[in-house]
Amino acid sequence: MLKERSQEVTKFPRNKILVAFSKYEKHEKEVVLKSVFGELSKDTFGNEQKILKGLTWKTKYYTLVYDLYIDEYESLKDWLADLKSDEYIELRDVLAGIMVFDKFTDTLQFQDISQILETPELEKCFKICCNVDKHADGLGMSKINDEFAQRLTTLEVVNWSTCDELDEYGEKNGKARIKEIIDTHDWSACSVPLELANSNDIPAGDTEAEDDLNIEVILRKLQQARLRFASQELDEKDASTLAEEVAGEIMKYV
Amino acid sequence: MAIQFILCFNKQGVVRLVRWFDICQVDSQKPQDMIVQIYRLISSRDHKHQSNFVEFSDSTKLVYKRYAGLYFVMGIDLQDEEPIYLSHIHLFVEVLDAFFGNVCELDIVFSFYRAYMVMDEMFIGGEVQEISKEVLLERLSILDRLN
Repeated sequence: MLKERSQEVTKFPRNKILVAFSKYEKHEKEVVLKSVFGELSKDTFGNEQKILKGLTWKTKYYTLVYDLYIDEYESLKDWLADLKSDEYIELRDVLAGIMVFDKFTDTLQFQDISQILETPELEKCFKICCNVDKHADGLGMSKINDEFAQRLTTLEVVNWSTCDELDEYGEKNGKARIKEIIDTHDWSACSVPLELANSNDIPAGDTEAEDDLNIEVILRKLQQARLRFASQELDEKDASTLAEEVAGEIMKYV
Repeated sequence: MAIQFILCFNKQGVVRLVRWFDICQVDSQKPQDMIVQIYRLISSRDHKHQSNFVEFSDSTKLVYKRYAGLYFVMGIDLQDEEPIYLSHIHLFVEVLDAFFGNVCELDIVFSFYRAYMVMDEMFIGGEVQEISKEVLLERLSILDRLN
């Protein structure tokens, strides 16, 4: 039964991002969501709309359609416990990423979060703990990331309040880093239409040729030829004549 | 054989580029296990106070450098001089940057064939072939136009 359930659930693409805010840091919510995800529905902030479907994430290589789930919590520990419980297994199966925005004053909190979020369903998810504390120690968070890397944990701690967009290694900080994590996440399992990064690279003549090239027609011709060959008893001469005929037909489309 | 392998992975340990030049020199363990070991070893180092060179096994030492969230690693023989290979890594990254135009991780993910084209133009059979950035970029632009 579990196998059937898991097969059923995996039909849904992993293109949901869950964003959770502490109830005490709600004032940051609008700024954070706008900075990372761009302009969202006005109801998101007004009428507390919590599920936003069909949003678009664009990069120079692909366009992604994703859903955004926005939640709030009073106690992070309880919220994580709920997320890890059996009731939310279907949610975990469709999540591509989890982001938690809070004021983290104690580095041990990150360790606890990392332990809770390391479940098999969330193995392929990106997990971000974003510290909105204005006095956060960037160096400390960097050290924690190095520790997590060593333990092969996928959780990353990001300093939201940093002024510098780049750190000493030329790596992105703050919201730029969050966007980078989303950009480089493996979205291949979702329906992600690839768009050309720069259409100016391709001369107009080539695109016209591509429009004429109908792969489906060619494949159908090849399949028909194969069936003809299989159904008739042909000697070598007849087989090569048939092959030439088929090649001639296909060349019209190339 | 000077360079045994070239590896590029991000901060999460996701491999972006890998080229093995001499499998025999590599210890008898699966490449995937080796990559995990290399990632663990390098990510645990203090990048401010420790060098970019670390001994990996009886036959291999690692030369690595971190650029904007990506680690570029070369496995070399124990007798080889590390600073030379560090400069090769730097040249490789400079050429990538010039070729792609402000290269980022997404470029390497989605245009990996072009990144490998750069690598193959610079390194063949574990040896450096060309160290002139201008010559490399000229050759690469010709190859790119063929595509």
